[in-house]
Amino acid sequence: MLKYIGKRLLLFIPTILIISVVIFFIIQLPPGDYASSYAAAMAAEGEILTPEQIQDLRVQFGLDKPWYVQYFIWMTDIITKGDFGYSFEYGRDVWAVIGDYLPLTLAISFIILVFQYAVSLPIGIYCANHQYSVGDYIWSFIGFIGTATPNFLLAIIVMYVIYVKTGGMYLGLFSTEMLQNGMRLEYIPEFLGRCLIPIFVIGTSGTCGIIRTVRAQMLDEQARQYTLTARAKGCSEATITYKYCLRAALNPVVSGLSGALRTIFSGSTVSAIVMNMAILGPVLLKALKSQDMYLAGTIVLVQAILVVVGTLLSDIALAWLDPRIRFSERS
Amino acid sequence: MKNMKQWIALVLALVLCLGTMAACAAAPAPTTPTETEAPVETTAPAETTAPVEEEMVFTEAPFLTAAGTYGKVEDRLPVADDVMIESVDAAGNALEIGVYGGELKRSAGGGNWDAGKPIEEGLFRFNTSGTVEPNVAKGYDVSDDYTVYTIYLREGMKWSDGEPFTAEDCVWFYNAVCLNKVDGKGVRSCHKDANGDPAVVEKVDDTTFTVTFGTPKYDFVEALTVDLKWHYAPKHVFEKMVDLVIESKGMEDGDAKTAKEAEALAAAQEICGVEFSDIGKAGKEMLYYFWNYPGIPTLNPFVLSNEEGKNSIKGEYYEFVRNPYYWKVDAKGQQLPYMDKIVYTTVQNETQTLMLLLDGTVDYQTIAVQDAPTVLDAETTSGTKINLYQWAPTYWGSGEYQLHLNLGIADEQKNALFNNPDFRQALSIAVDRVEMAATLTNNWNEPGQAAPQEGALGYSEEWANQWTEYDPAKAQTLLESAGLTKGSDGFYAFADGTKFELNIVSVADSGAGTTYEFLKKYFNAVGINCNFNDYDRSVVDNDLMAGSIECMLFPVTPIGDISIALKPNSMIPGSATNVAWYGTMNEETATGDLKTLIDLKQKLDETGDPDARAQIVNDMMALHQKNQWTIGYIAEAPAIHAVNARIHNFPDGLVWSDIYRDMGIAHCQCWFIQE
Amino acid sequence: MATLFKKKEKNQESTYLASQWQLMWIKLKKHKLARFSMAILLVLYLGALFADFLAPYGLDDFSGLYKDTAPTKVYWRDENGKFSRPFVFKLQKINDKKTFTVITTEDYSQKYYVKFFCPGIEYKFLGFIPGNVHLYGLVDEQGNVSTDARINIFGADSMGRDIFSRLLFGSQVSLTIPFVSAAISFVLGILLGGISGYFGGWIDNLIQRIIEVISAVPSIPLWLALSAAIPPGISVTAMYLYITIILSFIGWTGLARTVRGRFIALRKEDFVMAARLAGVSDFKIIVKHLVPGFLSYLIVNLTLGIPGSILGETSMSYLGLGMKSPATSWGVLLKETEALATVAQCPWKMIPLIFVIITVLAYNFLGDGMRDAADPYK
Repeated sequence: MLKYIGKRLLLFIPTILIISVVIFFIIQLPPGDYASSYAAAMAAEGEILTPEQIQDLRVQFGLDKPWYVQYFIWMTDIITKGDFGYSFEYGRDVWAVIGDYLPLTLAISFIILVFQYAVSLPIGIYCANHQYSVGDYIWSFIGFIGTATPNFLLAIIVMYVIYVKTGGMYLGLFSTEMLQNGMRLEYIPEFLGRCLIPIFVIGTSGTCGIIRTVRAQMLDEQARQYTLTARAKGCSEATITYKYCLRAALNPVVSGLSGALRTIFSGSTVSAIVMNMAILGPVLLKALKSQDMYLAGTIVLVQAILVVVGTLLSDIALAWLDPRIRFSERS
Repeated sequence: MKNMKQWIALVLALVLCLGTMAACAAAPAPTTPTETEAPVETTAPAETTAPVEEEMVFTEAPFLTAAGTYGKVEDRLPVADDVMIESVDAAGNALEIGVYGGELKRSAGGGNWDAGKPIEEGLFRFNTSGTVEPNVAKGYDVSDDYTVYTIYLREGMKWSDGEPFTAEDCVWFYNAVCLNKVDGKGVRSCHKDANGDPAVVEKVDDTTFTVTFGTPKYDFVEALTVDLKWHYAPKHVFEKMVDLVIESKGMEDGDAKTAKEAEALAAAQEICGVEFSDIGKAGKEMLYYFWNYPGIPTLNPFVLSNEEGKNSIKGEYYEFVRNPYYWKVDAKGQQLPYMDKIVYTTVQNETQTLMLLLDGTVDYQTIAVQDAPTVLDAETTSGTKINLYQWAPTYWGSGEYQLHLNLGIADEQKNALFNNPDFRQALSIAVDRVEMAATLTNNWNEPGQAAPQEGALGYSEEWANQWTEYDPAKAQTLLESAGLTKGSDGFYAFADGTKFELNIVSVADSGAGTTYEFLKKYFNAVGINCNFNDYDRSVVDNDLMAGSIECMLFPVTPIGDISIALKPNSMIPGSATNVAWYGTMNEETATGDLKTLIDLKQKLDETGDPDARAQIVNDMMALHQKNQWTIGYIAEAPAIHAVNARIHNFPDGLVWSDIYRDMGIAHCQCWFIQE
Repeated sequence: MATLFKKKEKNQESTYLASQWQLMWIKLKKHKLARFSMAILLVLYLGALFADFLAPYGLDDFSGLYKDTAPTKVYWRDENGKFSRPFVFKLQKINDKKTFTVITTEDYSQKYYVKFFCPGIEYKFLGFIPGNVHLYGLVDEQGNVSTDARINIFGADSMGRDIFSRLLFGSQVSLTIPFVSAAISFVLGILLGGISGYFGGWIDNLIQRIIEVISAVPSIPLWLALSAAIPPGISVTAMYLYITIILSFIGWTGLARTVRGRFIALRKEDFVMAARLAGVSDFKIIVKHLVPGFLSYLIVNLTLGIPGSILGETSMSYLGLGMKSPATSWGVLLKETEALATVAQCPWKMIPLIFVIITVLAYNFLGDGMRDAADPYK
């Protein structure tokens, strides 16, 4: 087991380096650079930059060099000084920008993740235990409907319906008063209310996958010989379901967690834009579109590292859950 | 139509505008500032700085009284005679006397100008009749040969930090900041004479300075108001930093230079608390976008808050707080602005602003006509009453439906074709405009041509309807007379058999895709093969500057503006870098009527006589009418502003134009809130 | 009930003789919702296949008069209250400049009758059979095919086009792209995951690292980069192909990991060893002996992958990276409905949303049924 973990850890560093090259390459792949997108943003506001001014900007930002040179400089600074560069758009260190958005992003994403599992595990287990019953169909339907609706539309429809019913437009997590006066105790009910829409919209989009996997795995496990043995020995249905089947059924659910780690870091993107949430997802998309290289690069890199770490953890967890993987790796 | 009246006024005024300078010139050189106001005032009906007949009693907002640290209001205003009184709006309609207090709630998309344009205070400003009127400056006069302009400032005026604002701030701004390009912009064209040499700016006394040109400069004041707007920076704040920047610029690369730059950046950070990456960025951000940074005093009615969490325009929330030293009062002597704050919350797109408008979280927004019913419904849905105001547009026809052929395209066959008026006429009459206006705009816009709109300078009915009939048969005849022949596939090709395809380009998400779908149907019907691509604006701009775009729909800079003389960018080749129809063409590469047009502009700059100037402008417009270099399909609709009914003194029937600083001409210092 | 398994097959002799796929089919038929979903999907795919015939109008049949109009009202009774051939009235519009609303009313002066198998725009069915007959269309009282009055059963879009027609043409893209891309991902996933798990060693390591790199890069920068890599000025068909490839390129990695895990678990089983000793080729072992062992899981993945791709296509369109009008897909139709004015003023433009939901649900329930059917333990 230790050898297996050691081997995986050894591969970790080169994998991350390769990923960082790929990421940097991909980010600069779309035509144009930050200087041209800055000029375009200025032009949209009526201020026209001359080609010379744009070239000056390019030199100023170091964008006149080939991408691999830019990458090399960036990576060298990260490794030697721990300096991830600064955001052209915000004019600040990238971690200062990320730091502004991270706490809320983590909080919201975590709440949503908990919501998803809290909703889908019971539904999955219920549906497996009552296969083909009316309850199975109804609960599956409810679990799937969120996934089946594109989030950007669901968000706008939900907000509009609430507006028509209540006269209030609950866009964003904070009202103007909250932003103005800071969080006060009396704002907490409204804040929680405002959180419900994103939790509902983003949360329901992920339930289907989990329900489906849990239900499928549970059904598989219930048909296994050990279930038969347990039942033959007189174990209670609850013990069979929760102690044996569920544990085995969680295997692929655990694999799915590595993807969840990435989502936690940036939060959802499209829905967050539609609902005007101040989390990292929209910041990332904006940075990618304007080719704010270091900001986009850092966010994506952190996400990538989280995925790799997540994969590593889930592999280790799987090896622990399923001895066959462990043994085969050893041989 | 109410807008039309405004427009008529505009035509008259623009003609007058050219005469204004003559009036100025003809006036005997005044000896005291108060006298100089007379000639300016005669054509500036909107605002007056006239001496107050009765002793006016100045009062201040309770917000300031409550703060208790600012002292007496009359000590903060300029001397009584020089206080500016806002009694009418930019169109000359009387303003209501307002009440103090409240916050204007706005949304922001993180743009540099979002907060700037509405509160900008130039030395002079335009009113809707196209006339320049005094603002920060209280007047000017000009020497008989148009080489020396003397600008008079208001005595006792103060920066928002309470320090005196004097001619030194104006002169220093030009000599230290502009001449050394510390603000990233350098000397604007308004300060350059016919040879391109920069003017000399000198201080006479604390309230007077002169601008001297090497050759006559006939339109300095208008050009200043278009190009530079302000002409000042707080020397007492910036002197140290700007000196360091200039010193470092003069140094050889090396450690000493790096150290000097670091010192300059430290000085910059001391002023506004922001850490900049380099001096170029610091200079541009702090001296050009000065209103966007805390700690920089301005003359604007509202100043960015100094409070942490409310002082960054990149943040989720920021606010602009009233300037206690603001130098304008209402007709009753109440110091403006009426409102205490303008507060901004960040949104991702305009749909979100619209949503927030509906429940009263945002107070105003310019909206599309199809959203108007939803906005008007808000009163019954959420109890938010929203008024709609219509302002006249300034483009020649709607920019969304203009087609620009690159007349300087490198491909010789296409170059000849595009420069052939028959081809342009064929593209124009191949499309059913009536159906187009119905399909694309639900008949809110009228069918039209790329020509001045009714009421605007240079309008003629003939031009507005030129080539607007729907006649596919004639279009085909014209295409053949332009040298194209129809191939067996039903599409036209060049005489030598080379296939012809019109490669149309636009900006992604501009809505041009829809327009193209419609045009394609009609173009294909007459036998013009075409295709369409839309890219991100940065790529389009890049291609435009390289002259590689062949044909553009929904051009990034539509043709037309207030006046070809005041802002020729979109109308005269070589005036700007991002206009699709002339691309990279300039006075050397232009030929025929295009060259004549450039020459006429040159002649205009050298002509002082108002009649002769008017004639040149007419000649330029006639060339445009004759050639119809760009094709428009639909007339421009008014800009619709949706404004929460609690906001009073929002002016109706103004003109929406960048020259007029968009919302800036609405004078938000005069708005007040009454629930 | 003291049954050991929850459900017991009442086996007939025939069941013992049936092949694996026949068994699956028998079991699939028992899953009512899956059967129902299959019927729905069949209808949707038939709609896509016969779109030319079913759609009364074409993709460039713009109309200023019908711009943003609600579903056409079809009358069954004439003015005397008697049953009649179904007919509709033409619309007329007035712009109210005060409230900025366009008031649409029906022009009662002339009736337009609904005619089935009505001639209309020309088309080529399946690309080569020419035709001009449409399921339905309008004729005036004289029996001539109407050119100005329209029947839009789902209303009209912002350019006056029939949403029902666009929905059908859009389904040709939206129902096939995800299918093709899910299939590509599926093949890639099984193949690479299988190779990785079955052979192990350096091949396994290499493939695992590639998967790690691809799956570590979030999908949005990948979409942006890959969309940017699509050359400008390409045809709709080529665009279609590119999007398919983009979606499948991103989609295969998760499946490959799962397949690998299963292979590792299974390859040491006795039956594999037995097959190998019997001289069965590696490929045959993978396909015949290993894959059926976890087919149920793969099918869950495949069916989940299809709706995922349908939604992926709509997300790409929302971000402006996918198909663009005049090419029509459900993503394009949904992108056009995101404006607040649509939700507030023209709710019928959201009808395509219902079809997206139905399709995604149907695929999910079908997958559900197939999973149960493929389960070898029952």
